[in-house]
Amino acid sequence: MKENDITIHYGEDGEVKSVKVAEDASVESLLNTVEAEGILLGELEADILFLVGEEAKLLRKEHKLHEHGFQHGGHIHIAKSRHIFVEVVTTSGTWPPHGYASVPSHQPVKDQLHHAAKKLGLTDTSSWVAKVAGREIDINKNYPDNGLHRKVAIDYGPRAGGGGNE
Amino acid sequence: MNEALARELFKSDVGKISDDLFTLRNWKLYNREFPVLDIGFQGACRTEIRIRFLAPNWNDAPPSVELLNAHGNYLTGPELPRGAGSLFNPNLHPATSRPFVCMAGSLQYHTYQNHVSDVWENYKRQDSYSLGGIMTQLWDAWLRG
Repeated sequence: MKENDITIHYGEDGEVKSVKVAEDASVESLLNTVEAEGILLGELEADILFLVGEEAKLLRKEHKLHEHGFQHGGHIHIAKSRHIFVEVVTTSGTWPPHGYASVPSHQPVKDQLHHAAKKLGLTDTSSWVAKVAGREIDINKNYPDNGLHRKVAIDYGPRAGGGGNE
Repeated sequence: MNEALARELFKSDVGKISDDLFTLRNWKLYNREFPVLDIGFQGACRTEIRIRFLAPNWNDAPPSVELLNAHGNYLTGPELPRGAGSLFNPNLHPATSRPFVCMAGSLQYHTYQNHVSDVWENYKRQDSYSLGGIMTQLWDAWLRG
């Protein structure tokens, strides 16, 4: 049986692990392989959120990987139950450095922003603003309350600051 | 300022600006070779503006900021973004005889007669005043213009 190498991204820091799965494997088989590698995903919902490449997909355990874009050498992200994929982008770096973090969707957005800031060595972001697709979001609210679902890239940076008045 | 050190600090700062960020913000990269960081701001229904930093003494001194159109010509007062507060100042700066960015983080601001007491030293270590941070502030002002 031919096997595919797949790079799995998981966890709140976008941790990465490579696994081998049969070419015609199901989602359930992949999850079993992942669990055997020591990756703890916890109890998952019936519809499991994946990123296959850049595309977010809800898949069930019986789905076949090859029918949903899983390819040899490909990268996928797996979200824990009630999680969202989050990338924080700043001019001082991106967190996680590759791919997305799997973050509880009902946690305030600011939690992941503060986490990312710490990881990127940023110490003073108190006046910064978070935007998604050009729209400022409320970082004290969670992701669904900001209209954000499945996958989001947050643009985080300072507002126009001091000076002016000639 | 030691040029080699300025070059390394410049490269470190600019190297952290990812391709993802350029895509997210519709920024167009014209140049990021020391000491120049030249980025175009683009957006639907907006005229592109280019911000060119010249930072040979980074970060002992803030970048000199040039305001250009998409073709690389200096903007005149009437061509400046409107409604963005007074950051894009149409008055002629005495050192350049051109409109200038009147915001902390711009060499023209810190050397302007009204602001010489607001020294760069107070800003240079803040995360909002990295080269990318200053560029972000100008982009934010442009978006609101």
